[in-house]
Amino acid sequence: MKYSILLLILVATSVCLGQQSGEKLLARQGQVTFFSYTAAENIEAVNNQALSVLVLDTGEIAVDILMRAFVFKKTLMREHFNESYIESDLYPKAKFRGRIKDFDPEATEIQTRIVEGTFTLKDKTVPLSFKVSIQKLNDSILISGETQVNIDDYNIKIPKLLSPNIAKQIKISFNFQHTPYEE
Amino acid sequence: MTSKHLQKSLLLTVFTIGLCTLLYGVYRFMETPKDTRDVTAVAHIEQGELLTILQTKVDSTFNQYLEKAITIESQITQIQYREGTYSLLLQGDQKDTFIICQMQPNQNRAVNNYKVGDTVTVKGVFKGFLKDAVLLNCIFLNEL
Repeated sequence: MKYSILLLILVATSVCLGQQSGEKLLARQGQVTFFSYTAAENIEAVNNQALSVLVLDTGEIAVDILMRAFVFKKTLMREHFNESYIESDLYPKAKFRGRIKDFDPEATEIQTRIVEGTFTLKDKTVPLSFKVSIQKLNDSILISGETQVNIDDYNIKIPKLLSPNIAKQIKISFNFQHTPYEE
Repeated sequence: MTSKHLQKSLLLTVFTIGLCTLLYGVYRFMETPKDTRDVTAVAHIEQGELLTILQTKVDSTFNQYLEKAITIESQITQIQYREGTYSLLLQGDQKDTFIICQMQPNQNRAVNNYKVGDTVTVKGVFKGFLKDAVLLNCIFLNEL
């Protein structure tokens, strides 16, 4: 009887620990904005439907961005982006896979941390690291920040005629509110 | 017809074509995204059908809806507001897989008439899948 109770406690503890160690938070509607600033033209697009998964105990983070879900002010900009530059039919998603260094899921104050990982766009995967701000709000974790990507790294071909209108370095800002999620 | 006349009409033709091209260029440059109210839906899908149809990931099935307007009837599970835009999370046909409808800004007033649990019919442009199906520029079809 004693052994049975002990076994039960052990199983229950291991199940709890197992759940805790793999606890994931999910942001279904993360915001990703990109900006291209040039003397000729400023281009900005917002995507409010980016997906992000955060693993609490490891600080691993995975972000998927649907390229067609970027909203532009002008139709022509969206068409050029999807058809000529990104080729969204062939490469519908951009992906970031990384890890937050020294992430403390229990910290209640705002944490500023470095995220290291890789960003994949148009089948080109390039290492990327940047600073993020992490804030715990009740049971959710808000991650925001910005970074820059170099368009030459991702095989994005800009016609010579339009090259003065597109910046070589694109600024990307993001905002993900992760909430508890069970698979 | 003299060569002078021919030259004049040729010049006029070139000028007209140039002007038309310029006007078309300006129109394209200034063109704003289409209002979904003016777009014809290619399909009507009810709750329980969309994800089954689209998640097959069969190219021909998937592509026939991509960037096209579709109408969906489903139940609201969440309403989110961010920077002037509402998004509805509609019930899908699988556990924890939803249909995200980012509403067109001119629907903001109408969104206030709905609450979680209501069944709505919306029309939106299908953009693809992540964990959920994503539709942009959604409008209500059964506005309260």
